[in-house]
Amino acid sequence: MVQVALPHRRAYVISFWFVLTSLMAMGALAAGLAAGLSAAWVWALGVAFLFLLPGLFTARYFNLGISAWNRATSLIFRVLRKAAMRLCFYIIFPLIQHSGTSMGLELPGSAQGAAEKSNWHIHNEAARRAMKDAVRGEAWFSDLFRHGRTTGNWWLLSLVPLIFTLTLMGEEVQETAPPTSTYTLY
Amino acid sequence: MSRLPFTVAAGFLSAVALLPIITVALMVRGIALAVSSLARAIEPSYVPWRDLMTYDPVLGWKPRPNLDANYYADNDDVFQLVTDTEGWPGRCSVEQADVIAIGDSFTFGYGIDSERAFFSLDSSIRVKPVGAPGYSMVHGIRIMEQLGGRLRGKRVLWMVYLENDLQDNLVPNMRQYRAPFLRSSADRTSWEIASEHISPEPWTASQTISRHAMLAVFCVPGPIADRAYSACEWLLHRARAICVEQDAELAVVSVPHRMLLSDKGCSLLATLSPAPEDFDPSRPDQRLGAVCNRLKIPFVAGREVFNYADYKDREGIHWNGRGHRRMAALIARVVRHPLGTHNARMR
Repeated sequence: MVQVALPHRRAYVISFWFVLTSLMAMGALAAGLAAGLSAAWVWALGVAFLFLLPGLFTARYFNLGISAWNRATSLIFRVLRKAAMRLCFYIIFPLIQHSGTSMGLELPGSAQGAAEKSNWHIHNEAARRAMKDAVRGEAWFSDLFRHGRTTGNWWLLSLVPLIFTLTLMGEEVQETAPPTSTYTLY
Repeated sequence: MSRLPFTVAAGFLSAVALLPIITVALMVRGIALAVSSLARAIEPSYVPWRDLMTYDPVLGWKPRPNLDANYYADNDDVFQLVTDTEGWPGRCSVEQADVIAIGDSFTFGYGIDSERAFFSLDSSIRVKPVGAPGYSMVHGIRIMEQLGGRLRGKRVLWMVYLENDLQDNLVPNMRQYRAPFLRSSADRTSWEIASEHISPEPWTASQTISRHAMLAVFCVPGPIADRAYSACEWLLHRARAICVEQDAELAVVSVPHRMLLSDKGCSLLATLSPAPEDFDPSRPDQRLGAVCNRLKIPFVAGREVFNYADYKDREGIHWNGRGHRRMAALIARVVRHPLGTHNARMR
């Protein structure tokens, strides 16, 4: 997937300002037409010119645009990621918990528990790996579907919108976080 | 209880609830995709850095001759490089040049298009850069020896980068490249250039040395600094002898690391040095200047010429366009008003 953070290379700076100015001009044109202005295209050109004007005085302006974009998108995605996770916690999980589990909970004292059957499960490495890779790989949907089918946990499919949303926003790199391989007891 | 209705309801509800987030994320991604696609279309294709270099039995590595290619500079941008028939940057030959600039990546014009580098800016003075990224002062001596009679009657400007040149004079490699270096002579009274290890095979025997830490060491008194400056003196002495023999005018200009040009950088370097209380950012220039004075070689202290703003912001090592213009102006002054044998203040 294309990186949202843009490098400060000249080609990217030029492209960034071209795309952004075009979008602003088109927005101004649409607004002008909606307002019934006879020379809406003049407004569009004016907006584009004003947008680029500071760059005539200092070339740093164009680089600052890239920096601002990178900071803004990082912030937006952080907020959106948090919002998505909260939605998941408050809306999806309360619903999913009613769907039950495919794991037999043969509690002592219950009718099933009377059979005194062991609750130990055979470790299914393939299923574990599939679950781990589900949200990482490009083919996460098919992996998730396969995992849901093989384990009988069809409720996993209700997570598809959330995983799609998180995939769109990419991973947040936490530089201060310990490596994922680090085993901790806290 | 059937699980399906809950699964469907949860999926549907979450899709609806997440729709605004998905819309915003798609818009951001869409803009990024448009920018990246357009950038890839207009950015010139570039070749890997290693493809620009070739093995040289004397220098270890050298730019390939007759290049007109683009390369990607680390953490920076794509730049155009033009080399002559010998592999040195620029189109002018050594014979055509008024000034021969010898040095490392600064001399080479790393991180700027060849046409915008200092050696291309003043059409009234023909400057020939002879250098490549990673070269030390030992390479400078080897180049002067190779050029020999072709230096006759020319001005030779030796650009010494203070971050790594002083230490690289004494180490046998630059990353995977094998480099000629200085070692103590057998009787321990002088120095000699070692180059018998040079071959096309990548060097794997040395650990990477922190350049900042070594620069900090060279800014305080001590045996390591004394050894490095002693090696510099031997090299400067050798360079002077070559230039005198060829009737060429030698001048030395130090190129400071950006950290030496800011209070914050100096404070950081001081903490890396073994004696922070003795830290003096001008010490490398003072020591080199003193050697040049003794040898009667004109010396320009880079800290008197360059500003912090002359260096690239993000890449943080090399000059930006402003730095190259300042270097071009310095060369013009040196050519039009030859420096005396005293150290020159150029600001």
